[in-house]
Amino acid sequence: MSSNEMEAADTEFAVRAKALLGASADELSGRVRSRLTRARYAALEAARPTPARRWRNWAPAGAVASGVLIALLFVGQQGPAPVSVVAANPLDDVELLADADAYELGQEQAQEPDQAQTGDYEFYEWAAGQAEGGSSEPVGT
Amino acid sequence: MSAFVTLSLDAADFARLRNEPLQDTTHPGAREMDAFLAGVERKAFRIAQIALRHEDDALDAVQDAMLQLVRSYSKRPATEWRPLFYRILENRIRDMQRHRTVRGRLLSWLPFRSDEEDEPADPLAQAPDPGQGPLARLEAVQTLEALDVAIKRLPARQRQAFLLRNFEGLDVAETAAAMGCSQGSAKTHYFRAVQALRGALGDFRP
Repeated sequence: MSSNEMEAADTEFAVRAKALLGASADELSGRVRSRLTRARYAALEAARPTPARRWRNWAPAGAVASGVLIALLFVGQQGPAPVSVVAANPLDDVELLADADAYELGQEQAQEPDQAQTGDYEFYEWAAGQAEGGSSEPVGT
Repeated sequence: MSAFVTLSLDAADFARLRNEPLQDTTHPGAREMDAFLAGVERKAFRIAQIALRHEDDALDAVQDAMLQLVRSYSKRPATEWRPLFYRILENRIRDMQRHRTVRGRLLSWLPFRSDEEDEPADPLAQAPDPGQGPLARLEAVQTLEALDVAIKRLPARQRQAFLLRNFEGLDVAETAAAMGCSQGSAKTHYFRAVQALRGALGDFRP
């Protein structure tokens, strides 16, 4: 057989084989065709983005944002403490301002702190003498 | 081996959807991909069936190839889908053949081994119904079965080259891309496959 005849025979074989195989593919059973259709739909369904998948796409960004927010709140709580604890209760200031005795006493102590302490000592000494029934003369007169 | 995915569609849905493309427009390439898969699924099944000689395994292989193509390559140009799809399918077929070989070796040590899974499918049960007379039908079935067996017995690369070039109709460049080899190698494998098939089929030449 010459090379041309062999090539022609190969071509004829290929054509007939293709026709036979093609017919077998066109005449598949209904069961196989149905399962192929289901397989195709399953493949396409698996690739379709669903709402849940879209939500999951944003999950990492949401997690990062939440972390940043929590970090900011934590840093805010660690900031400078209040300047004055007294200022936390403004009614104390009002009470002090309204008490005239307390104001005068404060002024006296500010001007003569040693005298005020000495006066207290003389008063206690006199009170002790009265209790023992001694001199009724007040001390320092 | 993956289980076949079952969707909750009834017979009426299939009757309506069987030859219709998907109506989903939310996924831009879905319709194009659906048309592509619908165009190749039957030949892909026959290619897998010839190689695996098992209907369910062939369906699994085709489904796996569809899934991987859609998941991994749906954004590639549509002109690349066909060689990619057949490359994936061939890889899946080889995986199944390896798995089957290992399983066969393991089961051969067992005394209660069942040969049921190793038997080729009954060609008469799978034969198409061309509407011919009984003798012509039997002859067609026998011829097809002989061709399937002869193709199955080819070396893997020759089988792949023959089915892709002859049956699926890929050109040399697409066949080479699907096989992962040069165009010269694809031509050589195809030529040797035709020679081997002609020698093997004898009187059963199609």
